[in-house]
Amino acid sequence: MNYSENKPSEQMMKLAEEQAELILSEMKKENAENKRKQKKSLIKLTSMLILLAVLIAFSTIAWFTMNREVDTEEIGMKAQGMNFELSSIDENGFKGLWYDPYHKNVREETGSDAIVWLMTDESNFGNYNSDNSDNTEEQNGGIKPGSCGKISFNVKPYVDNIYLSYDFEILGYSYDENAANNADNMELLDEKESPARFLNGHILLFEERTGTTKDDYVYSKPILSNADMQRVISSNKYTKNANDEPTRVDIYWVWPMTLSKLIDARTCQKVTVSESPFTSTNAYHEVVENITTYPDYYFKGVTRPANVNDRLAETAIVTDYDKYGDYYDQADNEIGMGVDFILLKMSVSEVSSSGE
Amino acid sequence: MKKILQRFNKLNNVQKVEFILASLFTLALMVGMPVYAWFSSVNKMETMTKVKEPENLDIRAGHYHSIINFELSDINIEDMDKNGKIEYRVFSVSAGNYKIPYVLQLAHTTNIPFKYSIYHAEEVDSSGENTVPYKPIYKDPNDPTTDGTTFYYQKGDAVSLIPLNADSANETYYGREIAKKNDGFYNKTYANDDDAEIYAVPKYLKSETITPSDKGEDTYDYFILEIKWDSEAAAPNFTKWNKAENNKETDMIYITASRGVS
Repeated sequence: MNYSENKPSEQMMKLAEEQAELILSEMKKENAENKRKQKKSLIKLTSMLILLAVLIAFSTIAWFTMNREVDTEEIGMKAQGMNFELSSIDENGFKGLWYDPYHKNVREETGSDAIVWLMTDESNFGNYNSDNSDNTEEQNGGIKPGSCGKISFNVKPYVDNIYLSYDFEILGYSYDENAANNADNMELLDEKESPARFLNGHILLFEERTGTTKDDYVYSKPILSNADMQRVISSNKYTKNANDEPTRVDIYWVWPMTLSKLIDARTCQKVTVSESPFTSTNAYHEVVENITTYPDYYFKGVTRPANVNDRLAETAIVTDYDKYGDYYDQADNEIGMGVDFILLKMSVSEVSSSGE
Repeated sequence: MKKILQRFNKLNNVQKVEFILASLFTLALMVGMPVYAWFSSVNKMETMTKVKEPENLDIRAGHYHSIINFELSDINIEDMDKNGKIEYRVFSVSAGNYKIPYVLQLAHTTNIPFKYSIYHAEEVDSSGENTVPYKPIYKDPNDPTTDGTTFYYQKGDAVSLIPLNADSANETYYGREIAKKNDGFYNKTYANDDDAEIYAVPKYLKSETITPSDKGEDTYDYFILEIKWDSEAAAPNFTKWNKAENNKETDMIYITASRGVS
């Protein structure tokens, strides 16, 4: 065998070499391109992630700061995306507010994000500190049977017409001055039990009031507690003002001194009742209907009948006013003994809107 | 990270777009939720107020001592009858921290010919003209002021008391008016409404609404109960409803305070 014959020719070798080099360079090229591609997508992805991180961070921080501002400075918040703006009537900021430290405690405990309702001389819930004294234990504040007043707020529609629904809730708190730490000294009372249950029937809200003095006030359009202890206004219309001024809304609260302010008991034979109800004709019937349907909101020791047909009759209450008047007073007493603070919460939602 | 990238690279273009869109939507949700929560929060408002303590009305003896010190048993009738001595007793009314207006009510039976009146009073430092002394009978270990100190009260204006159950001109009927008013109530005890034993029916008097003096917390209104001998009724030839009886008589006196119209 001739060795030289087996040897590849130089030409072939060259060819093979060239071929190999070509393949190699191709591979290198491909590799580089792949790497470049990878790099490109890596940069894209990283930048996207950074962008999103920044977005999240900003929105979260913004939310935190906004939330804090509600607590301390900001009175009303314009919420983009909503068709209305809700705000307090601000004259003095937080300076004219009693019981704010207690309220703050509750807000922190519950993580409440509601706007703190600011009060004025003529619009308050017995919690307006007229002389701006720092004394939070001030005795002159607070409410009791016979107290009444008005609380106001502003609604500013961003559209021509808007229908809003309201949901009010009154919660009772007891205050324990001996609590180990501040955070525990306000205790939410069980709303289904006495005395918090009686808040539903003893602190009443109305949309309208006429008259000039406490003695001749006539209340109408009651916002009464339903079976779920919610007080609801289903739909009120607001129209955008020409000068973009907000519309002022007044809610009247009253803690009737006696049951005779709600039910006309002047015909009672057993006791002499001289007071007449402070409600307008329509409101009178609504309130009485509420009393007979939910007597457990008004009277101590009277339970709600399981069947609506078995409910108390107005005439029965009038005939036995000596008893029912006392049940009502006893419930008042329970509130006075067991409830130290009450929290009024209002929640507003859009029902519908039109225009722009 | 590398693996995720490799897998990402393996996807075709459509899948890549899908993946990016899915991640974006997820992130949008994450960002949107808290922001939306904030939006919904600004349609809420709340305020807190205090519930005042219930109104209190409390009747006690002089210097707001325990009512046990309001003692009527040591009245000397002989002294009253012969020397015209007038007996005085002091009591106090606390109208609570809110100083609610109240009405005083006096009810008493009419066995002994006594005339009762109530006067406003002020606590004064020492004895003087028209002052009434009050000395607590029982020592309260927790109250040093019950330790035998005598307090003095200056007699003021009379509290006008309006009789509610009487036509005092009616010589025989007087006390039974209340029975008649209650229509049938005395049927349960007596044969007829009108048969009620005259002395069993108390005389019932009521004051106008009294506005408490507001001198701050823990201050009280003081009153003097004046008990006089009714010599006319005690005369032997007296025949009206409130004529004195020759038995060992006792009387019941109730003084109550109730919330007045504010």
